[in-house]
Amino acid sequence: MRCGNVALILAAWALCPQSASATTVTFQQGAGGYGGTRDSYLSENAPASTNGTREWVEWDSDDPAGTGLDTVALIRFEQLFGNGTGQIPATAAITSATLTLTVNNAGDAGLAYEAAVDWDDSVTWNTFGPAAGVQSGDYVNLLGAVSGASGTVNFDVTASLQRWLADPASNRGWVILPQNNNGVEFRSSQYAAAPAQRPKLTVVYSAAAAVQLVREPYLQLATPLSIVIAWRTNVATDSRVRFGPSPAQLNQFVSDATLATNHFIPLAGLSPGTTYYYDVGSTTQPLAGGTTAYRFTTPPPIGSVGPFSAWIVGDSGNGQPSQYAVRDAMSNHVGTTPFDLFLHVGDIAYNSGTDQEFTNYFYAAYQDVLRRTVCWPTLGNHEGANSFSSTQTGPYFAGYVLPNAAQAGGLASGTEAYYSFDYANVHFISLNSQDVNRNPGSAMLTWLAADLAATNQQWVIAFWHHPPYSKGTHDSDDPQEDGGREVDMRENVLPILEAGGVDLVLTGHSHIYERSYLVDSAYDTPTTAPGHIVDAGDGKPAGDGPYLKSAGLNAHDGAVYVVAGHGGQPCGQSGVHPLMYFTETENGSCLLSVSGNVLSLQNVRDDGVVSDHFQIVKPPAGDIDADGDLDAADVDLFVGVLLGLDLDVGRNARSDLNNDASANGQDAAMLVANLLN
Amino acid sequence: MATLRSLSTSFAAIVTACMAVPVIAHPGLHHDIDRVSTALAAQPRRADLYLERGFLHRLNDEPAKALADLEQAATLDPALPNLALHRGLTLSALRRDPQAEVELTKAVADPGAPAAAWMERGKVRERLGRLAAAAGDYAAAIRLDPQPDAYLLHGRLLEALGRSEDAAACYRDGLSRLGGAVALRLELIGVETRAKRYDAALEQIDLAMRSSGNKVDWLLRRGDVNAAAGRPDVARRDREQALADCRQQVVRRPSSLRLYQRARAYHALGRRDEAIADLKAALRKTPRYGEARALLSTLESDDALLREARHAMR
Repeated sequence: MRCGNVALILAAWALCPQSASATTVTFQQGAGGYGGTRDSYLSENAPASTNGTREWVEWDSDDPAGTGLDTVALIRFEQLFGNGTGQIPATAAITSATLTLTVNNAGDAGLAYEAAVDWDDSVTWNTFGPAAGVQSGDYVNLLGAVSGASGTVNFDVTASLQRWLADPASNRGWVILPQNNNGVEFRSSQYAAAPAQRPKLTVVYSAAAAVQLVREPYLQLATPLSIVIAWRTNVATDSRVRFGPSPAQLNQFVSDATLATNHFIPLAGLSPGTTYYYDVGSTTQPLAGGTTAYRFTTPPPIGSVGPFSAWIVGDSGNGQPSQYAVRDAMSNHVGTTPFDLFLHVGDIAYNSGTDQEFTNYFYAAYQDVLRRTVCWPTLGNHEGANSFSSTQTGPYFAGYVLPNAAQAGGLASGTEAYYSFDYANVHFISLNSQDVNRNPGSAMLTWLAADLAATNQQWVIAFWHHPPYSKGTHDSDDPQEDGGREVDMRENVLPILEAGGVDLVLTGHSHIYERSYLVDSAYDTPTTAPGHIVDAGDGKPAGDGPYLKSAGLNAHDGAVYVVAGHGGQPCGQSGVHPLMYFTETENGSCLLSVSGNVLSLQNVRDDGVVSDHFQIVKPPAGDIDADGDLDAADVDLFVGVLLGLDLDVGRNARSDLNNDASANGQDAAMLVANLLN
Repeated sequence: MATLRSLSTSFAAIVTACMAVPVIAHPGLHHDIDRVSTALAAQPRRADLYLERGFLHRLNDEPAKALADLEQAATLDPALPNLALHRGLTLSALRRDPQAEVELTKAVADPGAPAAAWMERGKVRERLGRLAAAAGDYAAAIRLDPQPDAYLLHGRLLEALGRSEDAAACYRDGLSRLGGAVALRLELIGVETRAKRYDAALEQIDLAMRSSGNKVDWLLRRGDVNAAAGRPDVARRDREQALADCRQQVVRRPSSLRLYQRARAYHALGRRDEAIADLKAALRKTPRYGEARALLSTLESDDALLREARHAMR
């Protein structure tokens, strides 16, 4: 996340909306009755001398010549802000400010800073600041180099004026430090022969516009105890979120006095699995919220068995009817039981992931979802045109608040480019196939291995953009495709994930829906199926039955791979992938559901048809009949195994709860303990 | 003309932000390349358009075509901004390292040179065997843009140069600036251990364990470091704690991963038979578990060798 702060004070929402016409005011000693200019120079050569009444001001690093002693210029304009004639009102939006000097003795440029200590016309080298001379703590905020060219010199001081408008007491003027020994003199506010050559400050401002939402509130970085609420306004304001147990009881609040257009407010000290209602706005006026639509439910405690559901979307952000049809189809499908999470597998905002494209094709398109559901994204190649993981800049990183230090579970990645988080009994991992090093030994792969080793969750779901297996609009077997990204993820990342017990992999990029069998260790190029399909069934409870995996995380126990790049872009197919059970070139999205030891995924097309569905079940230890639960039937079977009456290999293996190669009394004790739990 | 201006405007935005991004073979880039080619057909002496098309070719994983365009740009306007940077990046992609170094050196002379320019020159210099110079470049890149991979490159190079304390300092800097990135912590543990600064390595392991739900791997690492430090009793305690944690986890959730972890703990404690039993149990659960199979093979080979040695001694 990168926030931008603008030093503007705004109260215009209390007034009628005004037009944005510009007003220009100037401040020059003696002009129009103005008498607020203060200027002087500090002389190291004459440290006790005051120079506030001289007709010139100077800066020099060798004055007198050959001494190497400094001379430093000071200048300030007072009485700038207020409601008097010629003043800048507190409600203004300053668009530019220019300091104009008349240089009568040219020399080398000086560096302009804002003064951080008070001074007046009687100031000397000895009395400026707490110690003699100009120390580093006596000035702040470098503005840049002031030219020493002869004649009129204009210098941009907009940033200073904007800061001082927000805090007029901080207006202590400017300090101009010399850089070289060719000093500069300019006419002071006392110059009598030509008052027009005195220093002049020109400020252009407009009346403040009414505050409007540019991006409706959206939720980020949720944990059982915290969440971040974000929104964007058209002009800078301070920020406040009010929240509580009902829309009429928003009895808690968090605020931030910093003026900003991008607002990010973290809420902490929340309770797990609890619904809160909220509104957002400034400290004096809410802008949105206060209805049942503006709410969030914190995640349940880590490790809890759910149930929960997540919406999976990829390659959606084109603003076309297809995008909205996909969205609406899922909304109709879930009805009054909305999903708890929103995962986006990339290509969030076409064509290039610009800030405006994000605003239109993501934040606006999904605003009804985003105000109550956290989106966890991964970087696609289209937003990768303007967002860059190496610097974590661009609209993707500016808008999302993603964990980089294990804020939501897992281990610290050190970057928002890839991350992990826990929700209920699932460990989610968002990887970056777009623009980080994908080679063995890289930071991402090293982090991934450690992150998988550190989790105690029951399920692992990984997602990223470029699919390791696909024959849609992209061919994952082509090493030239996408700079080899698909091959890299397959050859370098999948071995780590599958050794760590991954259960489900979600990707996009290829504009198609593809869903694999339960597969493992298919790392070759081109991908081959023999020896890599763990379960060749359809995974459907009413068909061949769910894919069964052992309880907990088991290395190389099989995973299902889903390509969900069908969220809005036109679909296409280049072949049939040998690992895929089902392929469809229709727009749609997926609904993931997890309840205890059962994981389900449905593909919901844009016409509402559920065209695919599979389950993965991890029977608990002691589930002798492998029906997904632990009950009296399992006890009966266990007794049969214990007495040697049942020779079925599978039931015998499942009766060996402690994995010591035999079913005996110790396993009985574990079975009883599991039943009681 | 509006089209050309908009091309240049969008290109400038991309160029300044997307310097050393790994090349992308993105089908959509062909469309952009075609647009620039059309513009060039109308204005063949526009050096900036050749630069833009060269950039797009490089993004499209066609560095030879990119270089041809950049050479043309250089012929038309040798002083074109960013030319040296793009030539350097392209020559590096072609592994023409001596020339790449020359161009990237020109690029980093610009006060506004991005971190990617320094990083790429560092990689080029490393390939050329100019390791000390490469280390300086990585440091410069980190100053501009600290990110995990940059720290890894820099730290590993420093250690290779025999500057293990500097490598450790590099990783510590990265840890403090990047929220405790575990990849850097693991490298730091490695550096400190290899340099026999065992207590420093242990400090890092203990920090990592505080935020880790599953501490077994960290405890085993702790045992290894204590063993290397000549503290066998402490190492044994670490490994026994790892084993105790594993046992709890196996009871709660007897997955092949937990069985493998417990096998490693048994192995670390010299309890070979129990390790073998766990590995076999893990393989019964998930026969494809290559890592478990490899460790089992190692242990069984050791067993076989031991039996042979004993037989020979009789």
